[in-house]
Amino acid sequence: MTRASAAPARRDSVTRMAGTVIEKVLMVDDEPYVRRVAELSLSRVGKWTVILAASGPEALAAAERERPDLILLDVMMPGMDGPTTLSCLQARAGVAEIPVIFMTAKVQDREIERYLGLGAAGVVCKPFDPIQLPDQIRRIVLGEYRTA
Amino acid sequence: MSGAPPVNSVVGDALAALRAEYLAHLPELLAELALLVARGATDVEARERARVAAHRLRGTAGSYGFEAAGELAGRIEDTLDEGAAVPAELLRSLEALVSHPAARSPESAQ
Repeated sequence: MTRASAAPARRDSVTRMAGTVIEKVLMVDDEPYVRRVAELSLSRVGKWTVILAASGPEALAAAERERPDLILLDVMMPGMDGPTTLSCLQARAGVAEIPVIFMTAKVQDREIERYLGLGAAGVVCKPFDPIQLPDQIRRIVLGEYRTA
Repeated sequence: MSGAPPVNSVVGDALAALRAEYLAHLPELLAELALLVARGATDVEARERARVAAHRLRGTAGSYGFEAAGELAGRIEDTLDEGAAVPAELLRSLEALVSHPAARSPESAQ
């Protein structure tokens, strides 16, 4: 698990959205190449502090330790998948209220509805454009839409 | 709503470096998928590994600008999910991409 901090010059770029302040994002994906490009996108384009986790259990530990403002959670991971990880987060005091956005490469309407029904704030489709990703996240948190 | 935010040169350079690194690894990923797809015709375990490998490529390659590779992987994953045999045409396109991973479409790689 690694941390990618935004540069000090960017610390004034805290994202305030619909009453939610987004400054620190936890990105969870088992695929290293996804984590790397997401880290670059979220830290350099989004100007957020980024925490990375490669599995559901790592995500639970990082969420409790770091208390991020937002969690991006891959759906399909070996072992503990995204929905199971979300369920575990929701059962833990202190992290249950952190908004979670699912990320998935399989985009089917019924699946998206299921993810939203589980309590996700939204769904981002993979592959994502690293330049557009932070804006997509902002729009979801703002409630402009729930699927990007 | 405005479009994409401007990409400064630092971000652009960092993305280009990541893309080059991924491109160097992509032929290996495509070749592994092609091998698993071929083996998967008679080997259930290889078929499942092919499905996982296709899913990973599907969700990753496009973020690095290799949409053709990602889209082809997506077609293969969907085919495997349906329990169907992967058509020879898809396998040929995949094998062609191994040599030309940055091709804009599978067809252009042939």
